[in-house]
Amino acid sequence: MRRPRWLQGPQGPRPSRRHLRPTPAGACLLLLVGVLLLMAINEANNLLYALAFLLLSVLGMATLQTALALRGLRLTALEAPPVHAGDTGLLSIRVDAGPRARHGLRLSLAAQAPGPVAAAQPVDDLPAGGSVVLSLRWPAGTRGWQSLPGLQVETTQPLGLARARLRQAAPLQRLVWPRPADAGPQRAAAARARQAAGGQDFSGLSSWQAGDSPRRLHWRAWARGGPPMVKRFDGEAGAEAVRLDWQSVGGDAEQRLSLLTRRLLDIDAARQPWLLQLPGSTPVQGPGSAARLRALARLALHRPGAGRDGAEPT
Amino acid sequence: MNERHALHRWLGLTLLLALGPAAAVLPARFALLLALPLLAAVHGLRRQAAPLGRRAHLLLSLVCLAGWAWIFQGRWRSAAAVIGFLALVLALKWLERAPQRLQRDTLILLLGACVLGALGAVHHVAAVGLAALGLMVCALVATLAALHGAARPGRMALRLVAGALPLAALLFLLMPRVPGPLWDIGLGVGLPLGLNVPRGSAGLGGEARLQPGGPRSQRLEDGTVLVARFDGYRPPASQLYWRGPVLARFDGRQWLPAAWWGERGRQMAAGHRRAAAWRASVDGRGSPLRYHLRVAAHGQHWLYGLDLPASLPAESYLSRDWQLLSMTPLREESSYTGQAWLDWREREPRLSDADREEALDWPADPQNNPRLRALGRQLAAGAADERVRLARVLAHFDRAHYRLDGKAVAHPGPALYDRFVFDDRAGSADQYAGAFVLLARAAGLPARLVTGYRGGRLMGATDYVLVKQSHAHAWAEVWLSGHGWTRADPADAVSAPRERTPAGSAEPTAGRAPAAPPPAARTPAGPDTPAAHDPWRDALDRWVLHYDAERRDHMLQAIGPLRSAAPLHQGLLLLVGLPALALAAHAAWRRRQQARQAPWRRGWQLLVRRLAAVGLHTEPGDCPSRLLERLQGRPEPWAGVAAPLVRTWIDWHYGEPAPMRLAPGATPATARAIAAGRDWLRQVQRFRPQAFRSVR
Repeated sequence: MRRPRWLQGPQGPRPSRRHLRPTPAGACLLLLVGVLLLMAINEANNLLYALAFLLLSVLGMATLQTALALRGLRLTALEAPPVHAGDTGLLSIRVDAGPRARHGLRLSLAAQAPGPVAAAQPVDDLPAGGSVVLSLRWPAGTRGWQSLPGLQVETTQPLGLARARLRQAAPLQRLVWPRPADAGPQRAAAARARQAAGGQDFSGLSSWQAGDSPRRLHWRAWARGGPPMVKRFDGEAGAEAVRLDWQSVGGDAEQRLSLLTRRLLDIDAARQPWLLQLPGSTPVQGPGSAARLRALARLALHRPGAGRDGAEPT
Repeated sequence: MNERHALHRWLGLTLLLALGPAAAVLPARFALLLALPLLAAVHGLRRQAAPLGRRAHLLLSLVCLAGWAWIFQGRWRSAAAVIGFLALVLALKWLERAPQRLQRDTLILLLGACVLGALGAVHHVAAVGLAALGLMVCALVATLAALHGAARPGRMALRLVAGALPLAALLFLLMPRVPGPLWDIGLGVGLPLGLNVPRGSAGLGGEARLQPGGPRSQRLEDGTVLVARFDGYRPPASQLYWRGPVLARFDGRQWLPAAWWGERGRQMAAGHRRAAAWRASVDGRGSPLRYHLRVAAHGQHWLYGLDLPASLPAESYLSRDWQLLSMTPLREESSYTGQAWLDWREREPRLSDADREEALDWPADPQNNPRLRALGRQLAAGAADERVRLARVLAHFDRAHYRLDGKAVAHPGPALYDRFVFDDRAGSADQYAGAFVLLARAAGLPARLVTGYRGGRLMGATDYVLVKQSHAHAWAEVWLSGHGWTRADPADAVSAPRERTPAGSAEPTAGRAPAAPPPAARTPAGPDTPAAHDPWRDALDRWVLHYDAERRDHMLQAIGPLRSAAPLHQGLLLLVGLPALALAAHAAWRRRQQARQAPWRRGWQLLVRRLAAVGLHTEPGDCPSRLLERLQGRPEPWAGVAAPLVRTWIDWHYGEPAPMRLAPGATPATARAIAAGRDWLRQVQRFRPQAFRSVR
């Protein structure tokens, strides 16, 4: 349930949240202190009072230290490269220790992240003023933009009696590409065959397009002052560009996107020319890594029902 | 592996220290038994492996159990047996190291250690126990730290406990002392709860015979025997003598009641059946104290009237030796409303020859404490006045360094009191009372032994006093011609000043006679005699071991806001104020630490701020050398001062190595860098470009 707007404060939800809870061990000790106090009152015994209060104070000091162990800590999400739906990508985070040395922290994604729970990353022996860049595994959700649910760092230092947790919003988004459909055996074999056969003999020049590899740039032609040209090799220049469009695949919208992604990846891997045409968007032409990324982005961000899908609404 | 061994060592130390407070309760033989698991553990530590296989562990457990059963034969439910059993179980559990349940087992053992320490502390309040408990908490914290992967658990534990001590001390001193036990609060506010006395022998105060220094009940529970509610004035607990069996005869082994005790008819005939009968012969000072008393069922006749009864409840009578007795045995809980004079005297005291003979009786038996008899005669020599003799007898217990030890058990046999007075010099109240009576008899003073209860637990703000089995007491009464039977409590004479209640120090009970107490009897036993005592131990006793509600109130008198506040408000103040105080102190400490650790960063921020104030702005990403260039281009005089400051900072910031960036440690390079940083910070703090401008 969402909180009403007036409760959210001027900037919406708070950017960071702190929790401080006793661990089971701390709760047990607290319970013991309670029992000791009852015993002390019952017996009017000063040794028991002393023991109970000393334990209580130690518990308090340890809890205070646990709370302070996260103070001044700064987490910055640096980047998260795009990833296919269903895969687990990496997220790099910079941890700035701030004014004190840090030990025994555990960094993870905030718990509300969908999908499988990501493993926590330990942060140890970070000196005061130091910083470290860590990678976290971030499971991908469905295709499209995925925003980081926030970062969470927690610690039970120094005695494991209390757990402090800092949840911090991190404004970072990454693109999740559609999940490529499983490669059929024949198709994969064909792709391999194409890859093996083609691509070795020079067959001519063609004009440069965004996304073409700089390695194929015909430097001499460019140096002469002409327009940038790229070298074409057998098996690609001559071949007709494979058209990847909505009608070339079947199934519902997501299945189509998935199949298109698979074919795009296969064809691009074989360095064959392709042309991706999705309903409601401008066509993208490949091969080339930049073109592939652009095409994948189109696939990832394709809106079901945009333009004339020709597919049942999903 | 090494870390785990460290953890086990700390854990073992915690358990060992937890046994500290109980050491006085446990028999010496038990130490041998406990040494078995310890030896196995040492053996294991040397082998760097799990000390015992499963079979060996099982065998050891069985051996320990058998040993325990043998040592505590017949008193398996006694406190010592319970503590010993717990200690053995914990030691055996400690031996069994299961790496897969390390965390859980360690926690269980630590909690068990706390319980063990607490049980020991219940039974033996002493400075040693306090020290052991303090060290145990240190070891416990170190164990937790080791479990949590700390590099130096011991050091961390010391730091943490040292930080926690002030807070603990404040809590300890300010915690309102609720009079316990908690289940007595119901009794204390007058709820109709039954008095629950553990079954078994009534022991001291509840039997018509007394085995000197006989074994005390060492059970964990302590039943409530009497519940008194006072109308109006509630006297201090130390003045409450609940009078039970009077024992006038000593047969060389035990104390017995007067000869006529068994003959109920004679006893009733000789006693008083109407209050007016003896009220006429007694001069009570002031109006008698009114109280309502509930007496737990004990199957005997005593009603435990407060000394001295001024009225008779229905179906009761007062015997010749002032015992308030019921006509029928108290087989169920009873209650009555009574009156008593705490301060009284007999108008015309008379002691019949038969009574005098009985009160001076000393069975002629060469084994009947000959040394005590000789001492009595020696004390009596040259003193015709009875009061001087009484004073001398009391003074003997005051001067000869005796120790009151409620748990001391005397071994029965001939010349029991000789051994106690001349050799052991430590015993319970009944041994002192018995020895005193014999000594007084030897000195020619008629004396008798009175048993019953003394004191009680005052229940907070109510008018209730709860008398527990542990309040059982014995004292003496001495016949002084002209004054009659006079109470003398040698336990007060021997108790060290630290064992007296602070307020009680003003009223010596020893020799406190009904009406005009004989001055000679009081002075020697008075607690005002300065004893050679260690002031530290004294302070420890007063402020920690025997700190009580009274002392707390005294202390709070000095603190204004707390003086008039109700206990509830005090508690609230404590709950809110103490954490706030602790937080503030910690913040201040933290800021100091930061100032010490980060002079460079603080100085740089200050410098940038000051320069910005005079128009030389620096963006966060700017290179400091660019700032230096800009400074060198400025014509103002402060630029010449600022430039070397910036240069120094550049030298530090890009210099190699930069020890300040390491965690603060004890290396000399770091210390030098910290000192240099502080120097530089001071220079920055002195640098005020605006002052230059105003001069221009």
